Amino acid sequence: MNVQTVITGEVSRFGALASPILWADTIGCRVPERWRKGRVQAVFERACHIVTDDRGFLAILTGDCGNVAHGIRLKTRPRLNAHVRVGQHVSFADNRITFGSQNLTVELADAEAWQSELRPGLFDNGLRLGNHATIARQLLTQAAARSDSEFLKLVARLDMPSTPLADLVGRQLAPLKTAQRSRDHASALATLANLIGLGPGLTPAGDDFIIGWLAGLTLSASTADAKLFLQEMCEGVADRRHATTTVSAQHLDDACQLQFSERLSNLCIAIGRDRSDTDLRALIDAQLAIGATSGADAAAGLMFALSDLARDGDSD
Amino acid sequence: MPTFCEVIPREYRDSVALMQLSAALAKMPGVAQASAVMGTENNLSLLRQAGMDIGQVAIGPNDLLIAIQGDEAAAGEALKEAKTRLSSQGAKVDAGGPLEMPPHSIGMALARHEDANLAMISTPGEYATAEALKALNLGLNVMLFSNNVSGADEAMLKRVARDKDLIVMGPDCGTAIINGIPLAFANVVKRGPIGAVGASGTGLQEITVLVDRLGSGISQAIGTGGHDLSAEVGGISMLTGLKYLTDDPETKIITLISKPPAKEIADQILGKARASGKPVVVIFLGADPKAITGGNIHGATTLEDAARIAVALAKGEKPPAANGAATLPAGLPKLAPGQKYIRGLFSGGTFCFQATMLLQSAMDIHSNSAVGKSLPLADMFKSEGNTVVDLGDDVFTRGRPHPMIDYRLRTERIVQEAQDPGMAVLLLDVVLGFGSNADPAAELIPALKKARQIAEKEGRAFICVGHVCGTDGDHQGLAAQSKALAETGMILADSNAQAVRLARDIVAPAK
Repeated sequence: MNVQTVITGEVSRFGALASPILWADTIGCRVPERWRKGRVQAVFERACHIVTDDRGFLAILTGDCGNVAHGIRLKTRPRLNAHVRVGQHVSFADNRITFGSQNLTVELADAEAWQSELRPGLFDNGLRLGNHATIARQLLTQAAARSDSEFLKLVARLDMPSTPLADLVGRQLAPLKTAQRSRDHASALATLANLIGLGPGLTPAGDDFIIGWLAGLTLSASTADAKLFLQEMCEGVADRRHATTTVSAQHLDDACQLQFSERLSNLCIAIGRDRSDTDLRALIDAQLAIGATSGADAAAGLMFALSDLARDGDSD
Repeated sequence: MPTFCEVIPREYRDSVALMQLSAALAKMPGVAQASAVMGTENNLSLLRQAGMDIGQVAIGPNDLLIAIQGDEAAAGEALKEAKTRLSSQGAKVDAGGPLEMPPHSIGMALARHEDANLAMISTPGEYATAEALKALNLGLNVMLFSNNVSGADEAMLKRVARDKDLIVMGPDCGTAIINGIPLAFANVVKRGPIGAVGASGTGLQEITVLVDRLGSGISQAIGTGGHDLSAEVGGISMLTGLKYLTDDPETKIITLISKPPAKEIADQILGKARASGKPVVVIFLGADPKAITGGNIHGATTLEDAARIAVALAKGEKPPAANGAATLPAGLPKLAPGQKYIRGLFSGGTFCFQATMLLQSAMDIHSNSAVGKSLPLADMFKSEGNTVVDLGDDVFTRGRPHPMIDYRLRTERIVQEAQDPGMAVLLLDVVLGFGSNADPAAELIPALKKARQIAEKEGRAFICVGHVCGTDGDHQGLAAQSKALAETGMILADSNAQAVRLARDIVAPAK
């Protein structure tokens, strides 16, 4: 073997097509239906965000991502950041999204509609929910030890270094717990306002936590009082969503419409149904694998919301 | 201390990228605090609460704020560094402008580099077989970094390669040095007369590094992937690599590295090695070297022994005896009565394997490396008795980089181990070279200091034994890393085997 040059080119599923066509697998229920032009706002390896000219928002996700309500998930897993650039023009016509001058086309014709299955009142058996909430809480506590999510470590009550973010979040959790228990919507919203947009990244950890918390409230909302509290929280968070990034505001808005991501929704439903410990563990792993800490932050919110239902829940 | 801000409008990065940027900037000289966050009101409020006077900065939630607290010159440098790092992470282009498409296939890449004869493939496992097959069909040798390729696919790929007089290095091949070019995780070593074929990434790194340190050099280091010598694959790549080195006039001594293969595979490889006509050093980790030594074959017990024998043979000297002794350094602190156990936290899988192998004859040892009589760990995140852990195990790397790159998991575990009154010796490896962390000592030192404080506050000794796998040619610098680690009190051995024996001999009197 006489190595002269090492090929470092992008390897993809495109073969030698000069203008690749990607086929969509699913279309989320909150993807804008009528738009013609937009621009790429952000690009990552597995996701690309588009803002339409009429200020709508949608995401293109690779096939290994879970669905989201504002997302179009592809059948394949190309590296999107190798093909799409921030600021690039995007057009939509004839069931096709075209990037730039046909550098890349997403074909929607075969895609199926998708929406989150989690909704309030899906489970009304409090005892069973308590059992599985306890198991989920235990598994999440184990996972917290190896997670980088400060929210998850705080909710799991693990020792962690004092940081400005951890200290601030720590101060919010007790009043939020009190407000949740007493269904004091004004106090709860005042606390949530301190968390919206809090955290460094594109989807700040505070927002992810709130989304998980809303999912937990949805899962456990089996009484009229609980459903009313959930409704008040959703309306209040939706009103405050512009205090964060555009991308995160869209995730918050989806959650306020009770459209949660596929993985979070599946995890909640598994907690509500009689699923084995192993299934819960796999679903928790899938949830924690989302983003850098986004999945773990949302799991922290879910765990926090369910703490009163779990048999080993907080007693404070 | 004043705070200096830079707003980058509509800049989007994920939280890990921003946290890494913040951490890197905070380490720069003259910088007291650094933060890179999206410009939401709550983030601005958080910065103010942290004592950063950012004033009334004009910013929106979709803008990125970089705030540096420090003297003006340092802040200027930090802001400049931030922009450089951000631009190197992914450049924007003019909206709608023409794009030069990157090559989308191996065929397209080959068209641009007609003289290439090797493809390095790193895709998710389910795509890797197809891509490797395409490369082979284009006449390219393959280094397959991807893992999660089935044994059947690996065997098929290697048979195809053999029929075309090509080689597939991998799957899960992390290290190779071809014609002096380090590929993936590899070290800067001198070129010389010793060629190596290894089914172990860190095994190849240790041997090539020790050969370099002992004054010789490497002609080729060919990885095969850890599954190559299974009965299913039949050692095809090791046999091909052995043939290459046999035919290579630059290679005077051949070294073969693997865990013990199936007997029929071992017989076949040793048969070809005997027929090579060159001295061949063989290390089948965990197997008895005497059983294979004879004629031109020299069996070795440890990676270090293999390197020593190869260098001696290259110099025309008699192979040295196995190096089994450890010399305890003077002035070791006295262990408290309850301090009995070794806790090994390894980033290199083969280092963990070799440690388990060397320790199990002297003590009960728990490990996630299944070796001989080793005992499994009930919870890999918690040590029991004597424990050595391969932190590169999939369980630990899910959702985060390998521990040779990202030291957080290990630094957290070091502190966790220090809280256990049973721990007597902390045993570490530090791997330098391409792909590895840019400054491992800087990552480890705060954790080692904290661990020492915890132990000493409770009246216990803190003893840390380690070895650095690297050379002064590596960008991290062997001498600089060793000096920094030694200054924290780490006892540095010259090899993984020596470090393990040292740890064993420190603990043995306490048993």
